Amino acid sequence: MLRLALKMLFGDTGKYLMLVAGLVFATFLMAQQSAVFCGLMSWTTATLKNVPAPIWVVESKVEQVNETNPLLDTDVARVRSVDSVAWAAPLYSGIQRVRLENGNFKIIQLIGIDATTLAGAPVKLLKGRLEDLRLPHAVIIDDLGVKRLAKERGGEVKIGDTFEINDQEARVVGIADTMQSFTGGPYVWTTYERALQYTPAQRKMLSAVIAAPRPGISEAECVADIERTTGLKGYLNKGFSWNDFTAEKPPAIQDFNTTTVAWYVKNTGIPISFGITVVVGFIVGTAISCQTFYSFVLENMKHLGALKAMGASTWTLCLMLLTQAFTVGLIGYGIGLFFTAGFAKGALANEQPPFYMPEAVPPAVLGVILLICSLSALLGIWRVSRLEPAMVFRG
Amino acid sequence: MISPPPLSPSPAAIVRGLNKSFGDGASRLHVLKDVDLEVRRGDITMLIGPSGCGKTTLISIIAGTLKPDPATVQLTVFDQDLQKLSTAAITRFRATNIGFIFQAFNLIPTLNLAENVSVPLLIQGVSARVAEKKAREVLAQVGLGDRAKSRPNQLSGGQQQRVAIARALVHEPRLIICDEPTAALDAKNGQVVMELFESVARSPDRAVLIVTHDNRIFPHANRIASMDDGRIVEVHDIDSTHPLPDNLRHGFHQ
Repeated sequence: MLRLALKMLFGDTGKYLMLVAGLVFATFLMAQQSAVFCGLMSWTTATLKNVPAPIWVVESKVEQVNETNPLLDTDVARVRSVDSVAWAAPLYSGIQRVRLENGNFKIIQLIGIDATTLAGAPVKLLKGRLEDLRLPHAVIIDDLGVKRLAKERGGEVKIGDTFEINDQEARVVGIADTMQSFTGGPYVWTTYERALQYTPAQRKMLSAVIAAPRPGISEAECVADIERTTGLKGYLNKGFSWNDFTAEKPPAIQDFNTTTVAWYVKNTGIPISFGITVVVGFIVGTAISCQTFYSFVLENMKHLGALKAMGASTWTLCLMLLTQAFTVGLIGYGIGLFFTAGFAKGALANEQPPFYMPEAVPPAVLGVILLICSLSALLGIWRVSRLEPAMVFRG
Repeated sequence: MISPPPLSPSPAAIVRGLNKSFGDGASRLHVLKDVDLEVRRGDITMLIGPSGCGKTTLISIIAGTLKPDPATVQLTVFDQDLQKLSTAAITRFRATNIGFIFQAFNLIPTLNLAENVSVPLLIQGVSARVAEKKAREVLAQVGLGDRAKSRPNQLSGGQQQRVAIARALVHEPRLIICDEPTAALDAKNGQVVMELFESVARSPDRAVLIVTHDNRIFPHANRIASMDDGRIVEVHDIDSTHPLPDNLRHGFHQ
């Protein structure tokens, strides 16, 4: 009977395609928008990924990595003086403007790192040598900067090319592979001292102190020591934790990735904006699917009535409807995910727009699609359960 | 020693004091009023009467697709008291004992003929392979063995009704209920279908109950019961000694 149910479904090509199209649309919108949202949230923590220090020490009121509340240069020494700290280095992080040779201005995310240790340097260099960062006017740009800071549209920045930051020359000595910043500007690394020269002077310039614990001491213990000794705020840099994010009471030692994402979720309209789109996907998918499937059931009511008269139980007919609904659901979901994968391929190749699909998204979307299918089938089941077999004789 | 006379088999369906009403209170409509009827095995019984007289309601109740009023005295089909069966049991009873032929054929347009004919067997839980094999055999009996893969919309009305006959017979039911089987067919096709139906459906242990307005098919009946205003008003047994009465032979008016 279930095979016949599928033949009845596939035989009505118009409604079948309409049902699948509605569910493809819903799947694509929910999966793609969720992934873009997660990608955007991962961009907010890009600096933490690109400056891979295990411990970040910032001013006590700072809640997220893109917020700068400068420290005194002497705070580096205070952190170094903590017994459990193996090393500590200054870090400058701020948004600056670059003037290109053609006169155009571009925004960059300037990172200044300790010239001696080069702690906080990019993890992966595509071109050039890290040590060259100690040369005069030397900077390392990221792969986005190769295109974004080019002299002409479509061109690329090469090693040795120059531009100006705040009227001072910057010469490219390396190109790094990085995660794109939330602000959209390319990352530009230089030494801490040179970063201060590039930046208009302020009384406090130190954005953060990056540090690591001594061997045998956990990062959390080290952070606790730093906070107790210096009064500054210490964060771990292990990665976003869903458990910490959803915990009613945050842990005593927090992760900077988690607090950063939490800050954007709480203080910006981004989740609402993406959430509305996901809800629209759900509503449109539900409306198209329910309406079309109900219409399909109504058109087949005469045949369903005949089946019931011939001895098919209500349960069998309901099972047929569920089979039909879940089949279009799975087909629509598969095609929708295929389109999402196509979108992902383009987004990841261009690094625009942000795209990161956590493992939980596909099963969650599948759950929602099956919910839509269940709602669609329920309308039909309601009609079939009220269907009198004798109606088949009434024409 | 004298051997006892053979036991005559019980009627296929016995209806006594059958009542059926629809609605409540002032809008209550008493459709069947103390109807008595016997449908005999091996016979083709036709129910005739003007529109709205209760024919369709009566066959719906005998087929087990509609429940009679509790006041009904007896409703027995093949020795089974339908009033005592649960809804699920009646559904199972229909699946194994009753074949249906509908006025509008009710073939599923997206299924081919073999699949349409195999439906009653599939409902009984027979495997698709066995059901389709049996369906092809019955389709061959009704002269459509070479069209098993065709769709209903590729057939004429007469051919579609032959498919419906095959579907009604495929699970070898003991009672076949037909609702205006020739109403959608022209005179010639109606006769062809009835002759075919009689040749393949008539069997000593099977009863056929037909609701019809078509007096051209009356000669195929063994018994004709006339209804009016919810009652059986006349029953004619037709055989070599009791030919079709003139009032039925020359036209029956709705």
